[in-house]
Amino acid sequence: MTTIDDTNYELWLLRYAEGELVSAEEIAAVEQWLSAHPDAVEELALYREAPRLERDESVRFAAAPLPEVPVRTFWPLLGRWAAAAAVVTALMLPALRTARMDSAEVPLLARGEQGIEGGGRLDCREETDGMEGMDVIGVARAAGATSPIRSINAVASVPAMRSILSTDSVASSPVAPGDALAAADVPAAEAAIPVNSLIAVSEKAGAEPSIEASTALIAFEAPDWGDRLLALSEAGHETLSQSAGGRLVSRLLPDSRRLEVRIVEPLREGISYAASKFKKPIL
Amino acid sequence: MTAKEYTLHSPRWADDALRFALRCCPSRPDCEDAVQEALASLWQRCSHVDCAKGKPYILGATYRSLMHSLRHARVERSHADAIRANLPGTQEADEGFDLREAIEHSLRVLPEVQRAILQLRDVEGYSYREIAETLELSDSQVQVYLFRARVAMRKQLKSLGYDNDR
Repeated sequence: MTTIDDTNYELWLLRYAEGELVSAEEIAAVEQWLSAHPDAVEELALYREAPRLERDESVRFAAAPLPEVPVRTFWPLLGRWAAAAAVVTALMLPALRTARMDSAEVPLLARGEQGIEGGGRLDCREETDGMEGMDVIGVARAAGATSPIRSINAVASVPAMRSILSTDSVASSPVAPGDALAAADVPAAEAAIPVNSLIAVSEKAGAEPSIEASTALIAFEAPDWGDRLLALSEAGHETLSQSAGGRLVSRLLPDSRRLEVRIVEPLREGISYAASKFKKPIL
Repeated sequence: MTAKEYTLHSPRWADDALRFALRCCPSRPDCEDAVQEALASLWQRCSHVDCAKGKPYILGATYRSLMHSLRHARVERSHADAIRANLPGTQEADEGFDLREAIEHSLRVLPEVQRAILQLRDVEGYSYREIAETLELSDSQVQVYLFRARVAMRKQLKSLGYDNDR
């Protein structure tokens, strides 16, 4: 280090105060310089008197604990759709497994190059028991499934896919805590819905009856792959959505209206996670 | 860093990053946004970042994100502050602080970079080198800023009536 002078004395004083000067010559040089600079002596005293900051342990990112609720079983609702659902499962899993190979680090489970459009382009449109009037679509479409998926049934009956995508806010849908699915009306005449209108809903993690459009929930559970989890995000920007303590990662790519959903970590059976950090309003 | 390591460590890093961000900026939503962007950034570069560097990466990215958003907000805020300052009864009282509040108050007068350095040094226990890497400064800059920050903070505390308290 060069000798102490008016331009670098702060550096020297800090090291002096912190005992980081090891050479006797350097220490003597600082003390000699201080003797000629009373203002610097005062600064040194202030430095030494300054309190040190303490860690605030109360600060937590996404501090609110994520609710844990039992997963509601859908099997009683399945009835005649059970067999069809099994077929859907068989059709979907290969596609999903293929998509999963897209990333060596984190499997890409679902990808919808076309985005999810409203109206007739949805593969999964079905009125179902208890969900009349609801139009739901399945993640399977994004995953490249070619067979029509009877949405709620497929979702409900395929253990690996207790999730759906809705094409709009589900604020008006009859979703109650503990409900498994939520959906929104998809006006048939509606043009392509912007990618950022997508919202994922799933097993409800104690969600309020009305889910804010800016809320996203876990969208996928895949026991066949070790109870994994993936999530859908808010959209509008290429932003990975961190939620549930960083356990969910997904993104919607605005440029190509693509949806990507990636597995992040195993999902424990019977537990749902709610995405808690989606500030930007959807639409 | 593997996805598993990311999943394992990122929640704790996020807490640290949020704590760090709140030291630099009082707006929690802004801080949370910055942390989230930092986490996203790390996730995207996961395979290129050593796990041991994960936390500095998060802190650095949080800081840069925060500074970026603060710069955008500063013009509007200064305008609003100017208006508020002219309203009667809106001057902040400098009396009646307890020491903790006084410290927080004294921190607020510091430039963001100095607050960030204090946080990284005192709370995270980072070396000058680690702080420099995190904030993209030189070692010397870190030390000079640290010195100035402590001096300024102590001066401010004195002005608030804490002459003898540590």
